[in-house]
Amino acid sequence: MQYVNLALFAGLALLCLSMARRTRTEPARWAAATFGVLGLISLAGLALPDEPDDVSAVAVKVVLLGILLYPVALYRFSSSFERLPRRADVVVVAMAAAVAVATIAVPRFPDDDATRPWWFQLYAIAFLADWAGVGAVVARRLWRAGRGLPGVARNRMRMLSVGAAGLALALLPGLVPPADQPIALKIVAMVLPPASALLFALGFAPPMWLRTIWRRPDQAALRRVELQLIAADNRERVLATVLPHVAALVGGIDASFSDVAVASDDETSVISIPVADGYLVVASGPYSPFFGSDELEMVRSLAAFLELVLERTTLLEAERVARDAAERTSAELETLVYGISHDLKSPVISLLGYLEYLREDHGEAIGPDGLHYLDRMEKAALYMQELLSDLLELSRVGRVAVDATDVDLLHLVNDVSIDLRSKFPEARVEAGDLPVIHMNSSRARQLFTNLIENAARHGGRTDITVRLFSAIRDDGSAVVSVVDDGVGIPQEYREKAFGIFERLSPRDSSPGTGIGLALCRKIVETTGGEVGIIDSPVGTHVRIIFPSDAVRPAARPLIEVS
Amino acid sequence: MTPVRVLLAEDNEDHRFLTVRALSDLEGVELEIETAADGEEALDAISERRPDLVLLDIRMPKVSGLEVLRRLKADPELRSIPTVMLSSSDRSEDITEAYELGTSSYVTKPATAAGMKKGLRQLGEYWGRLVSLPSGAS
Repeated sequence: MQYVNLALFAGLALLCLSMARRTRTEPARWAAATFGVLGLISLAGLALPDEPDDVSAVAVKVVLLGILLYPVALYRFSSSFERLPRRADVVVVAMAAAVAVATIAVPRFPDDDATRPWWFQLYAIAFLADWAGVGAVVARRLWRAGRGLPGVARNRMRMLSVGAAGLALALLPGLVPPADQPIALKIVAMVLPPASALLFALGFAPPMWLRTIWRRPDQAALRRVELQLIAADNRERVLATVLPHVAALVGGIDASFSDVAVASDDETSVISIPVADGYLVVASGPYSPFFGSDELEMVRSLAAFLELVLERTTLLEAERVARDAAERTSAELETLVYGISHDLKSPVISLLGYLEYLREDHGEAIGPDGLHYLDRMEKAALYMQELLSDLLELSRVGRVAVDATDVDLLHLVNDVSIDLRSKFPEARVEAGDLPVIHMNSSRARQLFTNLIENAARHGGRTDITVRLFSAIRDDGSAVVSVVDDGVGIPQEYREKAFGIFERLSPRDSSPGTGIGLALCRKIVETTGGEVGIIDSPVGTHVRIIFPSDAVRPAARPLIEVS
Repeated sequence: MTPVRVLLAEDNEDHRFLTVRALSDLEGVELEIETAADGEEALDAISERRPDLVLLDIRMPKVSGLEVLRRLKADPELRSIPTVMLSSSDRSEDITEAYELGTSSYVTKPATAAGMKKGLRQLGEYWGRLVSLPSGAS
């Protein structure tokens, strides 16, 4: 048993010594001192001769004096993390010194089987009170300090705490003379030291598998934070998500994001990790630098992830700013178009009115040429009026949200074709299976009026036939086709036709403002759909796609409506 | 024959002239036309003299035609006066709003005699009463 203890405590001493050499921190140095003392004592205990003589009596006293160093060193280890009142240090040293003096002063110790005199009993009690009392204080302190810390750090401190408590109790059976000790007490006295040594070793250098288990809850939390970070779309939210978690990982003092690195001071230990354009500044609790290396590793990996997320939010924000600016410009432009068109309308109205009365009151006086000029003036004014109306309408489609209802396109096309009959008496409109679309009814009317009128105007023949039919696609969207048998539009002009003021023929050869198709596109886009001209064997094929959420299907047989 | 008393509210001087002219060109009715250059003036004139018919331009500074209409319809004394809105566009959503507020008719500018006649015909029985009562009295 002695050899097992020796091996364990010597191992522990070496572990602490190498830790002290590696980290060069105060706690590590005191840990090395504490367990170096215990290792030496174990070694010395082995060397003590079995037969008591004068030399061995002195040797025993020397070993006992060595043992007295343990509580002092252990206490200094536990107090090296925080600034504590000096008084407690003085008390601990004074207690050890008093017992040391007693050790030297007392006469030769009685043999194991002899009855113990009163002074020896008193001495033993004082010695063990120092040993166990300091051990208990340290055990309690480590346990309490570990409470607020995350998994690995907390568990390491608990290992040390229980180890210290175990060692504190280990010598207490010595109060009873060996001959009088019951067997259970003997077993306890035998088991406690190696068990404590093991716990200390686990606390100072936990093996990987144990760290993994202790880490698990924090790592799960880390995953959750990472998921939240992916969802966060601006810098403030990212930092608000990550900082409290970082703070919790290092013992709950503080974590912040700063433009400059911050150094540690006497009160707190601070690490600054460069992230993106600043630093993740983490102020840790007093125990974290020593016990929280695992958590610091997690903080560093979180910092690397944070860098990626911050870069992403920077890009997103830049994009949003650009988009907002573009939208604002577009909205301002539409407001401007609306204002200008509206104000230009008034003079045109006056012009048309006066022209009318000029012709009525003075037509005879200005002669046939004059009347012809009046006609041209009136045509120009009417064209301008139409242009302004279309522009107003175009700006309104983008600006003003209007009520949507279920519009039966078949009924609508029927109405439209009846309205157009007087303008284009020879044209025919055929409508097949058309869906019901959820949209604004007057805009739907405008859309199909423009499309059918366009075909009749620009088709190049008066007896043009315009056919409308539709199909519902697998995804629920509806494709509505408006096909004529006119001259068609060459491929390269098809997209241009949807631009504002794009006319494919000189103004005098074909009527219309050149806004009609642009308006059509805007109307379709407000439903979330799209419109374009596609290839067709004859004439023009305008294809509208209404999105599934705007479609209310209605199947009907093909009928001729005009 | 007692003339029909008409109040015309129109801020644009040319439009006012043209509308007065269109009204004067109407055949078979005798009208006594008073004009107002904005909504406030119109409201004062209406409550003071209670015209037989009110013509309101939709867009006017200060108090718009729609606002004048809203106040007329909210006043139990005045709500029965027939109104005709004057609009610069026949597609305007303002016209829809005017009908919702309770106007009797609307006319698209520039108001020619023909357009005015069409708009007044829409008044239906109102117009019948306006033109038949005075002539019946004569």
